[in-house]
Amino acid sequence: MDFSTPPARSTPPQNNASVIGAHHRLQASERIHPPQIAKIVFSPRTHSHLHFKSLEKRIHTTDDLTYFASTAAYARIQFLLSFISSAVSTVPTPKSADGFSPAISCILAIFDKLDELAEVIPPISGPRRFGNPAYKTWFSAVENAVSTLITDMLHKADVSVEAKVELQGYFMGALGSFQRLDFGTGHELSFLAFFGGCWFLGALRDTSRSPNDAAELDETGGITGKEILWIFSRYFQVIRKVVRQYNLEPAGSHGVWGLDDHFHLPYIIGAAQLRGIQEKYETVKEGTGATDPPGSMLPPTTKRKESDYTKYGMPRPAAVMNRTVVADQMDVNIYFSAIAFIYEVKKGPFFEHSPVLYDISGVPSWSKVHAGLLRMYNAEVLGKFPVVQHFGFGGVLFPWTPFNGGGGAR
Amino acid sequence: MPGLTNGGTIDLDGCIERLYRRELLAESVVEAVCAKAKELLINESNVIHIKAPVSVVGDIHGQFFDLIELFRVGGFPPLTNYLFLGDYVDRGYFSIETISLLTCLKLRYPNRVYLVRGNHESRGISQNYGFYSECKAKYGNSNVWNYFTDMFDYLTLSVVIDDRIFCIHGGLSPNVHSIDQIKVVDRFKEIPHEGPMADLVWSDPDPDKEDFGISTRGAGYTFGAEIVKKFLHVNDMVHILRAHQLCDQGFQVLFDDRLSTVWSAPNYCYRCGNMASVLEVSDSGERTFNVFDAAPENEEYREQQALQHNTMTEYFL
Repeated sequence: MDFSTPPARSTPPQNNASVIGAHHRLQASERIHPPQIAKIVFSPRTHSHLHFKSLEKRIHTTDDLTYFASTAAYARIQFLLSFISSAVSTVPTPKSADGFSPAISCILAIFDKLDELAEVIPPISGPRRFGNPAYKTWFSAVENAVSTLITDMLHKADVSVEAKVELQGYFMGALGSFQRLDFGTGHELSFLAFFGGCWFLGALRDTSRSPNDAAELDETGGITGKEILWIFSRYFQVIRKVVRQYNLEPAGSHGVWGLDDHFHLPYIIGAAQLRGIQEKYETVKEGTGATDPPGSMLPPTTKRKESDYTKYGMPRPAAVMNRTVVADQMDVNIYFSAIAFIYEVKKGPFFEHSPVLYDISGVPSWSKVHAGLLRMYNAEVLGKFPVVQHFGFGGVLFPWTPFNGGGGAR
Repeated sequence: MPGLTNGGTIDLDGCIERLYRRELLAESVVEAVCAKAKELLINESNVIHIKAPVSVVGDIHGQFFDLIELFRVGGFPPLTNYLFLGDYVDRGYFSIETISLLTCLKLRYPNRVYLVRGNHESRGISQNYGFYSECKAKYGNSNVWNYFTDMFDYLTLSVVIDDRIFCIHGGLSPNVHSIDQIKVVDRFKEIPHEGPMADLVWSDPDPDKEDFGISTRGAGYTFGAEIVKKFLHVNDMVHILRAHQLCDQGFQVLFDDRLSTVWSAPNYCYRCGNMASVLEVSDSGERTFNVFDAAPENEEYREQQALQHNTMTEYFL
């Protein structure tokens, strides 16, 4: 009879198929070749042919996940992740919206409104189970206000107001659950869809920079990495504030076995910001004409340790363990801003409350971190029934129709 | 070498002693324990009638040290009788230790320990929320996860204390008016997506409603004041006792003292800062919540908690 206990730490199996769902999911996503931007971004000329519909849930059982991975909606989500990752490469999070195209101001006005409403709707005292009921008041106030703000955005961009039915559905789905007073990666996914929807429709496009120029559209879609970073960083700021202020529960957290109680996207986007630097400057051998990395990534005053920063001043994945580096980097990098929030809300040592993030801090390069986070997102968010069962599908932006290699249903 | 199983009998006291020290049982012992547990549980009704005094426990979610703290507060079995309302696994570090200990206690003291099924005691959920990853990390394979999840199919769905208090993990079902209807459910299976069995482990009370409503969890229903009143009246009961929802104070009492939620995982997910509780039901039917905070061992044994390999790392190879 074997009386011994198994070892506390097992060596990681080399076969990825052992991660539940990962194998299937990866294969599914690998089959899909991301559509070209020109095909997925709707030209205003085609808008009159689009049939927007109220969002509808289509994932009812785990069996529906296989079809989901073959839909135009899924392909567009994959496309967005890869597009955003390339667009923000080597770009630090901007400090303000100065110099942004006027097209961005409408979407930013929405975040300002959310902030403003959170200011005037404080948490209320009195007995409750967990989340603060004032969140419901805030949520309803947002619902009332956002309709006009989305209409404004569509008007200014000359996009059919019909699109509001889908965009507003994604936006409201991105704020957490009104009934359950919680927030999780499903809500975050809904924001990705809102952002993607606005962008596909041209509502974020700087017309002065790319007046329907197909060539430039192919490259940038009419939006810059800085603008994307600012939009996402404003969203995360507002949500973190709301989660704290109204004490929202983690929705479907995996506890110590998951990445983060609420978020996944800031880690992908932030790793993409840094992955770029590594590829652009650090894989180039010295003397081959590589230029200096973007100076704004460098913390100006802090004494830098080699274990935390490379010689180009880029923070290493291991630097998340150093709270000083986190404080220095949180405003210029979205990964570090997410880590800063973890330090703010979690008690105890980092390795204990966030073991997955701790393990990732041992990964040698940001490219590996980024690739791993994408694989994990596909398996643990897009591949999980409890998360995506709440995702809504409409008639145009993220349709429940087979992916045909282009923009999907038109 | 001393063994914990010998010719088909399991040294339960030995197992319990080891588990109190937070030492894992060997895979073959877990297999034997789960097989034995199935033999015992198969004879339990879908509705078990028990007598007070009993202490009722809510969600634990692998927070082993906090379970031990709960025993310090409420008394160790068998000196205190226990009714556990499910959600033993997922999210925390020690789901295996927690469910191993509770299963052994059930086998050792079958009439002093009762285990009700929670929504996390299912393959579909525990594969996704930590228990499966933990089994792979600690045993190097998923056999133990298979033994336990097969055993989960045998756990009872509900308990009635002194013919007065109806206890389930989640809540009521629009398909269950009388408790007798629960008795005829075929429970020996994975928790289905819908129907009475799903509702009992998934539903939540809604203090702002009167009737049943759609649950945003994607399974079960929400149920309001009128439903609770009607259910208690039809079944001649005075109270509903359930778990399933995080409570900042460790418990919540609703509907003019007709329903209680008990939550037993303090500082849930290392961040919620909430209290936990264990509910004592006395022989005279009085209900007292004993509130407790996170166990000091959570801090003492930090290093060990960090040593475990997490399967999520595979994504980054």
